[in-house]
Amino acid sequence: MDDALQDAYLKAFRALPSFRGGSTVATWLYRIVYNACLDHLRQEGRTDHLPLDDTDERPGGDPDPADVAVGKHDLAAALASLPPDVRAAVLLVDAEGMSYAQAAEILGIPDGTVGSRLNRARRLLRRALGDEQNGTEER
Amino acid sequence: MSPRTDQPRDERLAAALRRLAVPEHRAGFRAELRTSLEREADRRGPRPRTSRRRRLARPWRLGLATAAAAVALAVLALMIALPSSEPELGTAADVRERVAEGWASARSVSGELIIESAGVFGPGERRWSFALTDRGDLRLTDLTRGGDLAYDAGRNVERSLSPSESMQDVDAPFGSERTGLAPGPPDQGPSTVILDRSLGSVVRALAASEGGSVREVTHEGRPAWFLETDIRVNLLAPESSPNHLEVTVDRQTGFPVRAVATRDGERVYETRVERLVVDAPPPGDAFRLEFPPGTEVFRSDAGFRRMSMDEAEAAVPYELLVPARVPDGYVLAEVAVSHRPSPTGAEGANPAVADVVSLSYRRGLDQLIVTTRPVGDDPSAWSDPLATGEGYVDDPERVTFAEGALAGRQGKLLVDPLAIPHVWAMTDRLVVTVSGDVARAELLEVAASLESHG
Repeated sequence: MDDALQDAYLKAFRALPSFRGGSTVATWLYRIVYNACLDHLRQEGRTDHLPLDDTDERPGGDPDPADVAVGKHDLAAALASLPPDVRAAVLLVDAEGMSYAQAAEILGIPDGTVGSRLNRARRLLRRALGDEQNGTEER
Repeated sequence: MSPRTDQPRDERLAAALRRLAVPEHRAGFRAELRTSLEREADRRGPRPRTSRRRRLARPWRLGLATAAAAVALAVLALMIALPSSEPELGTAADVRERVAEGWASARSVSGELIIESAGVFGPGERRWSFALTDRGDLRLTDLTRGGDLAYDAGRNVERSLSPSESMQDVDAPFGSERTGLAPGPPDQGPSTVILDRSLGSVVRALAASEGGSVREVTHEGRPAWFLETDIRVNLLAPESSPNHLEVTVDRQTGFPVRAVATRDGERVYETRVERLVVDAPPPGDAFRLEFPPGTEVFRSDAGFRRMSMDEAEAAVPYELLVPARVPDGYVLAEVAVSHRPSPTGAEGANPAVADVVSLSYRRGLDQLIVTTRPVGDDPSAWSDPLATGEGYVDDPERVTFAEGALAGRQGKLLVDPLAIPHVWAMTDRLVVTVSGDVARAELLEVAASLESHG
């Protein structure tokens, strides 16, 4: 994590002169940080998640790695099992409270794609929290 | 973006995500960053002359960039600070922690309990359905031999219907109604013995054990942990006491769903939980049992009455001792006083004294009980009020308290799978017990924090 943060700071420092104010500084920085994180995940070979469709159906009946992880009843494990772009979407919208538009700008995807990825991520993460399982209710 | 695409933020999920730990920076992180930035600035070479406005803008931008990047990383760093998606084995400590967490956070649990043992309940398999709540309600139905028991914690009434074990030609079950029950040990509380010997003892055995190995398994189609660990052998009957425990823990709920106790590889008993349901609200009448017309009912009153702390203080002829500290999550659930002499200890051997105060604290399905009672005329007559008894020999640890109302007093501490974890001590006037589902250090801290009420 610290290596990615060092890179992000350095990239921001380098890119600062080219910042034209087309977005907010915060959005611009989030995008730099997001890309730095993706670079490090690729370098570490930790991007071998199954592609996440925008539908809930998986071809061939293969278990989604997130489905496997939520069985641990561990939010961190379930979150880790999500592909990085989906993980980032739910962190930006639910943890950081951003709008779909802000998240879409940072992630470089359409608003609707943010929504569909969020739906799937939320369903899996809610299960990791113990909701929607065996008729249990939210407390 | 169109606002119409936004859905309401999931506040519960958001709160859980924000609670995920973001690792601290490694040592020297800031110095490393400063060096990198200075090196980068030097690499660029001397800056061209700029207007004052331009020279001021750059530090402002950098400062804001630095601040914003720090904020951004706090969340997005989770993208890479999280463990990989490869399934990871929990450690024995993880399993113990999850089990403890499951009991401490549950509001209700139900299922079927199966016990296979040659000794405790006779040969063969016995099966009960059970339900418990964090209020203390209990329902236990014997599916093998018939019989039913319900404890309504709100009314402090326990009713049971039992078939005759000895009169085979008697069809009508016997009824029993117990009122005025204490919150729990060492005084007469609800009839939790079967659940306590099965589920509770497994949880305590796990808590008291050390080390062990873990592997991932599936139990009734659900992911589970399988933990093997050695447990303490009973001193009186080592030849029949298990020395090894295999526990299967449901990973979602943290509840032990199967436990096999063995002695040198030979099975001593097996306990299983099937159809486990956690936190599904039980029906409103789940803990009320109606007697069929004509049932012969035996009624008894254990003598405990619920009241406020101040009322309890005024009701007994001594200064009430109350813990200044209880473990996180525990809240005072009940204050009960009995003026009726009641026995305690192994086979009820302690002096039967009146004016007993029992304070019950609850955290999920966990319970912590603090009791005080007069010593009486013969302090030497007292032994452990929560002794396991029934032929088992306890091996308590002796401790000396350094603070609180028990400062300078010696106490005896017992944390053992067969006993409810507890510590007890005597002052010149009182016998004090602290017992419940807490760790050794927590028991001692609660006892050391006892102070006079008011």
